[in-house]
Amino acid sequence: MTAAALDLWRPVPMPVVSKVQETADTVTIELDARDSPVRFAPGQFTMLYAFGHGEVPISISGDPAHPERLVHTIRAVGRVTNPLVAVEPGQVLGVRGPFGTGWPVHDAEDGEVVVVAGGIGLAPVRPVFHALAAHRERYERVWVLVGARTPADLLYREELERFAGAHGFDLRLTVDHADDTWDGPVGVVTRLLEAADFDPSRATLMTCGPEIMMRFVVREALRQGVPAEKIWLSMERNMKCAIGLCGHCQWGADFLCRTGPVMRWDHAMHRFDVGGL
Amino acid sequence: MSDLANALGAHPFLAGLSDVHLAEIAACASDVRFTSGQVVAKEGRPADATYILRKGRVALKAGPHVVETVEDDEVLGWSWLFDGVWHVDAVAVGEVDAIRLDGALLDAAMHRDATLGHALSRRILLLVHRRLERARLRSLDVFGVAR
Repeated sequence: MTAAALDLWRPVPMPVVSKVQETADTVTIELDARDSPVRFAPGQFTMLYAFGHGEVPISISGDPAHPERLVHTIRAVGRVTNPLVAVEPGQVLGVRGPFGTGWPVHDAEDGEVVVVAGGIGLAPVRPVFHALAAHRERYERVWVLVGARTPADLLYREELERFAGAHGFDLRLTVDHADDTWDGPVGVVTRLLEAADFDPSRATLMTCGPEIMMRFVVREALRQGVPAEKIWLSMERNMKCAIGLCGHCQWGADFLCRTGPVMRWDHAMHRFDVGGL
Repeated sequence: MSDLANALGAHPFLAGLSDVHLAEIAACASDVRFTSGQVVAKEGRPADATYILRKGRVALKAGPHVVETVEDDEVLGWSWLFDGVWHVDAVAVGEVDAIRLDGALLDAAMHRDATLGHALSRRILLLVHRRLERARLRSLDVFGVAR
């Protein structure tokens, strides 16, 4: 095995330098990657190792222009993510990667961009916002349509509003269940897509969220006339090796750690209705 | 065409209807404005109108809970066509500009002109269909805790 191949297996230790509590069960942590900068494409993921607990795939949610600052937003949902969410600045995590495919930020140039994200699915598209903002003049209208369960579950709300103001993004937020703090739209995220006044023939749509949400989003996008080859989604499966060897993330003919997580709808569509995949 | 007919024809709900049909609908229509917090409809009361929202937001409420909001360019209320009572409270969130279509007048117009009746029924069914789709997605509670 070559040294380069060995590196794919070996976690690089990186210290946690900051931690932001985003919601009750979700945090954003920044790792100091100055010694091993992680140059990534928006949409790629790393394998994060909580020593003594295990390793999980987490999408990178930071700015691709700053490979020395590796940012992840993590929701506590299990045996490894629970300790990851509990880390504090000064502690060290292991990092492998980046792995996988990215969002088509270059292919989307000269047209409109529609990002539809729900829940923790906002994290893997956050680097897209940075990339679009860095070259805003290359894109026409940018729509950012975000859904969450409740107002308290909305990620990056202030940052999104700053981005929208500074870079002219058309930001729309909705929640499934409102509370007294919320006087915005109430309803599912697909409704934002119905109401968005974009030109489907000039749009590239990127969606990330629970699989069933993406299924409804794609259905609405197709109904509005967005071509299947301009619709991209991020699939999630149980990545283990992250280099296409172990097969844990197999989805039909794909190993999602290699040919995903980001893929085009016309590549993914035939498997969406196959139970058990 | 009248200003009202033009405004109706520009709304997504009625876009594409003929001038004749728009004139028939305009004869049932009036401009309305609601202030923030004003009750547009009350659960259990007779449902006698459809509101074509031009600007603003209306919260559909079941008791204290907001079930959904209806926004710019959307439509509120079709119960006059079915059982004739409102099934939710509807409350303006901020200023709301709308066109009110009188249910009884519109029902009569739809009976007089079967082509209008067919065209409007299809559009109302589409609204119900889309609302049902959204309700299905929402019932899945897709953002619930994945444990």
